[in-house]
Amino acid sequence: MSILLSILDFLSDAFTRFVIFYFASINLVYFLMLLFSFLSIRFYLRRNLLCDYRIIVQSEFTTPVSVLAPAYNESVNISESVHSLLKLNYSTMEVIVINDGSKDDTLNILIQHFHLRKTRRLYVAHLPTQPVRGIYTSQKAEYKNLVVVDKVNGGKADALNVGINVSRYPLFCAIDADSILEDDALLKATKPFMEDDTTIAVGGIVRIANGCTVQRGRVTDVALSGKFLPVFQVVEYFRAFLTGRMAWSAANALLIISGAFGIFKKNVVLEVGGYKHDTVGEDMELVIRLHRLMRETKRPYRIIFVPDPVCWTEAPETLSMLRRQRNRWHRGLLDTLLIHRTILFNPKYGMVGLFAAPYFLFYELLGPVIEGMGYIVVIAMLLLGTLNTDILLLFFIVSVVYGMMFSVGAVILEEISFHRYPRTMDLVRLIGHAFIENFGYRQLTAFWRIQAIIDYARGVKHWGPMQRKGFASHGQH
Amino acid sequence: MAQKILIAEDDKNVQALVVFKLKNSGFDVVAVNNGIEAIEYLKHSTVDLVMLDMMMPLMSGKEALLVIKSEPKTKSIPVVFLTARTLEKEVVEILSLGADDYIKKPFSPSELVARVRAVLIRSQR
Amino acid sequence: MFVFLLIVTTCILVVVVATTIGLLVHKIYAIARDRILQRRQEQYGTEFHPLLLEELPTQYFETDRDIYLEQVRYLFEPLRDSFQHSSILSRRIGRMALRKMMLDLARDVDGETMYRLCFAFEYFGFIDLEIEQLQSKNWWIRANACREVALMKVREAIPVLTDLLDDEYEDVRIEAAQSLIDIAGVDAVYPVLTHLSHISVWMGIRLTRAILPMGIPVVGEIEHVVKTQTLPTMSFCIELLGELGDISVVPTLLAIAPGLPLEQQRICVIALGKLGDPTCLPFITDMMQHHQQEMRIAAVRAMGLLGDGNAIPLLKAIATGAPIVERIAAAEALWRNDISGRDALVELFLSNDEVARTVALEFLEEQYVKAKTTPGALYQA
Repeated sequence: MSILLSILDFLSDAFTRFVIFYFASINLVYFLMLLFSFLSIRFYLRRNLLCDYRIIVQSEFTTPVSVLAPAYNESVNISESVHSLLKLNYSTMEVIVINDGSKDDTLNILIQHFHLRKTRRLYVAHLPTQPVRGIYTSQKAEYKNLVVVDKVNGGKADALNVGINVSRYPLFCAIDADSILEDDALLKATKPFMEDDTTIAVGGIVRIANGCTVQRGRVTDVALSGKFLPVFQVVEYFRAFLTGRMAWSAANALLIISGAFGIFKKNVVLEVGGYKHDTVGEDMELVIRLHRLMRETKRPYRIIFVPDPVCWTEAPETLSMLRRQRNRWHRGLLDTLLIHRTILFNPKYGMVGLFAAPYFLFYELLGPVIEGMGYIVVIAMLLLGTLNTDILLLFFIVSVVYGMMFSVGAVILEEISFHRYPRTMDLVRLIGHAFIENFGYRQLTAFWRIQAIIDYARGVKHWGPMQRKGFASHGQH
Repeated sequence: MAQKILIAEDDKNVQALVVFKLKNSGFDVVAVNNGIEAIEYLKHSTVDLVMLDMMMPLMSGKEALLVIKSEPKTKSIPVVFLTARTLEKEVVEILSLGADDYIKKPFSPSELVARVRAVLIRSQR
Repeated sequence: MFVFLLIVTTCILVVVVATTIGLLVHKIYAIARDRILQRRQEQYGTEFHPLLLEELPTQYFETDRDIYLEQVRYLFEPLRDSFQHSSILSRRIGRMALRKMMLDLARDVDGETMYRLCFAFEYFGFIDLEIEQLQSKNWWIRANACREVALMKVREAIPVLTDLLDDEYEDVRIEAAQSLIDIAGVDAVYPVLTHLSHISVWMGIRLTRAILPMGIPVVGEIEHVVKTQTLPTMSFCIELLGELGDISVVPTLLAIAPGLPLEQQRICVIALGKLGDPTCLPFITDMMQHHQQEMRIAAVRAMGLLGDGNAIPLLKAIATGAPIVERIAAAEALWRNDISGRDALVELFLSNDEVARTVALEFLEEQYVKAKTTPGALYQA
């Protein structure tokens, strides 16, 4: 009996050491990321803060962009969203709305609202997709940049592929139909393509619109939501975008460009075969495929994150919806990493293979698992009475205290760079949430992510569509 | 009686400059900051001319133009654009949507007044 | 070990908390400062705009600049004096606000007002400040000062800007080149274009905005660049020549075109098409048989731009028997060509070739959408 106990004791001790070592390493990585992103944001701001973006609007020579907005059952706010897309500031662009076989009357609303008319525009299937039922353009001069494509349902990736086939311009911008791009987002996000012609993809920052005032498809007043969940997510997004992606972008190893707002060079995407439609994480999967193509063919390239073109999106406000979202994201991550497992630790892929992919494997994908086991062991030790205060304190420091500091760090980074929240009180609340996030919220999301891994292993592929509340309902005057 | 001009321009500096110049030239001037305010103002007052900037928050000049030209009450008010968007196709587009003149930034204030006068004379004929 | 960690953690925690508090204080301060600056700017606006727009007694602007400047100086004097009497802090804030306001205005005004604004900029002593900033240790201040002197057309900055063409930071080099062209005009085009080692699309967009309005006088300069230089800025210059539309450069372009690398040759073909001189017809026709598809498409496009009736049979042949991408390009070229080109498209639409019909329809439809009929309806009658 005593032998068993001592073995158990030894095991738990070894495991605790492992967990603490794990946390220590993750903290070091986070710290480096924070530092890198601070430096690169500062560099970015110095270069671009005084840039006159009007030049882009005034020139005929800017690279034209096709904006692709896949829509599935979006009848509630589709016309509002399309209006807001049509008024983006840019010199030459087209907005392509892809109706992905909606079951509601999304298409009819579009046809009526924008006076659409079926054209016999040529559809060349550069990428194989579900059949297209019709291409519509407007009869009115003010909507001449709008193209609506009606197709058989095939999922977001398939809809985007159709959009790529229909698009006429060398760059395309993939967005969610229900998110709001700021008026000058395209100007800021296409600049890297024009400055350096080896740029093949650019991602913008996604911010959370809950609590902001939205008028006529524009965010007019930036404020925090009164609820807990959205504010936690604001902090989370800061961490993911401003520290995470900024740092990876500086190392040219950016693995995710959010599906809500990313601009790509069309011919390169065509070369890799467009979006892959049988994965839930199609946005990350495409970016990794781009990295692989360029590294395998040894061409110089840049995949960049730009921190100030903003895409506002509505974050889930209920636990069940948030759970679905996280579950989907995590399955997407797992699926993508499994598809591209060959790049892991493969020096052929440089930074991507040696650092970025392993980071996503160990810290993003498996992080919640190890963290969860840590909590279990601590609780088990507590029950067995073998817990010593030193270890508990150590565990607390490396997991909770450092976590807090990085969240606060991300908030500080936002405030010193873009300070989009004008009210002092909002800043106080953000910092407050960055502190309390570590008691409950973080564990909860970790739990959902572990669940997602189990679901994936059991082969659960779908979670059903996300319910949208719609921007039209809040803050509309 | 002095003729009344409504100007919608979000850049405070330019707004103040234009307002001053027009007032000095004997016009009655009302300044607003965006398209929405311009439309609101037009709902309950009449003006002789509207001057719009293209890129404004909330509602751009183009949207405001479409609203002005679609309301029977405001349809006949001449609209002059004052904007930094200088592409030929945009000038053509705006003029074909019903605007009466198009002044490109950078602009000369004296020229602006002359053009406003010309548009007013043309519209009264 | 454990104690060490504890100490480090505490230290970091203290730093984080301190930064947080500092940040909050800074935020409150920044809000207050912005409010003051805003107020000051508005205040100067009301004082400054009248001076800028005041009608001067006799219009000397066109005839005698010296008398004119004397008058303007007299106008601005009271405002400048008012600065000298205020306290140091208030003077600093005031000058900051005034300078910012003037730079903002400079983007949007033109004509005599701009002239007065530039004068005022000098009169209030901001030029020395700009020159100082052009020589700053920090590259971003240098780059920004380049933009500002260009806005205000500060000719005194030309020597410093010329030095900055060799700056160690690319951003500064680009800004300096741009500013030189903005300030010195046609004279700066040759030296700047031969000095730059690379022109990105972004840089090109900015340069064209300054160079295109110069019109015919600049053509000779650019032709000179094209003749002497062979590498990086070549494509840009050829494109510019195409845009400027002076056909006197066609012989030069035709002479250099065969020796160019593929990409530049492609740009050259398009530029020749834009220039629209019939003497380049044989060259472009040759290029339509090029072994590279991209070049063939470029040549087809150039044919469309050229708008020569002789090209129609060739384009029609491509529109009926080539890979789909080339067919579309050929149809577009026909569509752009002229009336007989459109007739050829209609013929294609009426032919038996299914693909040719759809391709033709793609462009024909655009015309008939405007006429509110369909091509089908028109040709059934």
